[in-house]
Amino acid sequence: MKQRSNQPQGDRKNTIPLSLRRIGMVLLMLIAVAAVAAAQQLPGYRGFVNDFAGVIEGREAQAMEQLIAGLQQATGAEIAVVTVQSFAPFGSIEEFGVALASEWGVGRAGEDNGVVIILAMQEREVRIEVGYGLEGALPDGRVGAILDQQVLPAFREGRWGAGLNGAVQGVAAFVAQEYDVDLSSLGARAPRTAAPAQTGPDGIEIILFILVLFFGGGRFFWPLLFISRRRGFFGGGFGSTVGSGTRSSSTFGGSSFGGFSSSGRGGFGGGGASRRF
Amino acid sequence: MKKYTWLIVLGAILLVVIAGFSWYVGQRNSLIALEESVNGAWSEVDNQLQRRSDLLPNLVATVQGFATQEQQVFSDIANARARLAGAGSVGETAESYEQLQSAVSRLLVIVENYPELRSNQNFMRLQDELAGTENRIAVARQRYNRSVQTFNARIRMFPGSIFANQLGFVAREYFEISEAAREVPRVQFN
Repeated sequence: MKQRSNQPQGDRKNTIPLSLRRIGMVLLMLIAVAAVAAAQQLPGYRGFVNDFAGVIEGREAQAMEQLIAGLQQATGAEIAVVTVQSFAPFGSIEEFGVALASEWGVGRAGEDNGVVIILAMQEREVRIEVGYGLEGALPDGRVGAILDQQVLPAFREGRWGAGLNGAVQGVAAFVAQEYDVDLSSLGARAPRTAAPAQTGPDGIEIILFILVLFFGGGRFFWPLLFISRRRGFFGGGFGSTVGSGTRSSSTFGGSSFGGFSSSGRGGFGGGGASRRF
Repeated sequence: MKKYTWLIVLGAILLVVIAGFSWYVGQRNSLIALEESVNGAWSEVDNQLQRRSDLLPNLVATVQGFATQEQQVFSDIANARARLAGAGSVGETAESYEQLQSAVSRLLVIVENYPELRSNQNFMRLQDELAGTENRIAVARQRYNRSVQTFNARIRMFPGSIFANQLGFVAREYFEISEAAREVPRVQFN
């Protein structure tokens, strides 16, 4: 009660109507709550291999880390391997995948060349989440082939580390091929009967990518927001509410501005493939 | 003394006018930016829907090679595609997308009866593309709805509500689909 009676005085000084400030405050609080809630649901990034479920042997983790480091050095593309006991409270591994990948921002900003490999033990599901920039090198069909041939056979025998290693090897092989580098010495290998280079939608994908680049990109609208925020003398209270809203929401799974990451990291749009095993 | 008073009053009025104008410009620009972000998010939904629609003839052709007697579903899909292509508003698009979705899930049920089709490499790849596109639509839809929410809240709430109307900003429509159509079709190869 005390706080409430104090507020109007503060408002008068700032020449901003009370209702306006209240709305702004409520919005800010909601955003803060949402951001905290989202941060609690998602585990923090540890490194290339994030074995939260504790199912990968040290030797295998090392092999994966080596290959990913080599890939990153040669191409700039980045892979993150994640194991969790469960992806709850998210509804599906796809939702969890996009949220986690966007939160971590795997891959380089502007190139969006990140891949996240997720294994959920309880649900017995595995997903490879592909960033925008690698959707050409890794169309969903190819990702599916990697899962079918290099991951699931090992998973069926309970060899989790070996299966994930297979996924890293398959992804690395296609990415290396895209960037025209050879990583076979580090263990990169493609599935034997992988999809041919150009399946139906690939040509369209390039056009789509360009379209998205022009129309869908958060980066291009973000500066506009920034300008408007700076211009108004008294728009500050409100403009900044909008600004922080877009930023915090884009960190948990992409707001309207998360089409490409506005936070300056790799962006994800839901490409990839999942399997139950 | 009197001179100064006048100057101060004049200055204060000028300041208020400039501040008011600047505030107005700021509000207007941020509304424009928000509306553009809604448009951008929608074009992404549209792209993904188009991509989804473009995949289907390939899928139908593959299934047709195995299941020749299922003509009804094939024509349903063709009709739903045409309707989606002709959809104008967001609501129409959502509705025709749902129809397409139900036709596709009927097709996938049929596929269950053809084991040799399910193990077909080409079909498996198409299934993955289909599921992936489905997921992209889900992500794009979510981002679009979120941007609409921000925009609509802005133009309905004070102070945006004062001039949103006269500047021609109209509340945008959410892309809403039923629970059934939200399901991502899942592939299970064992």
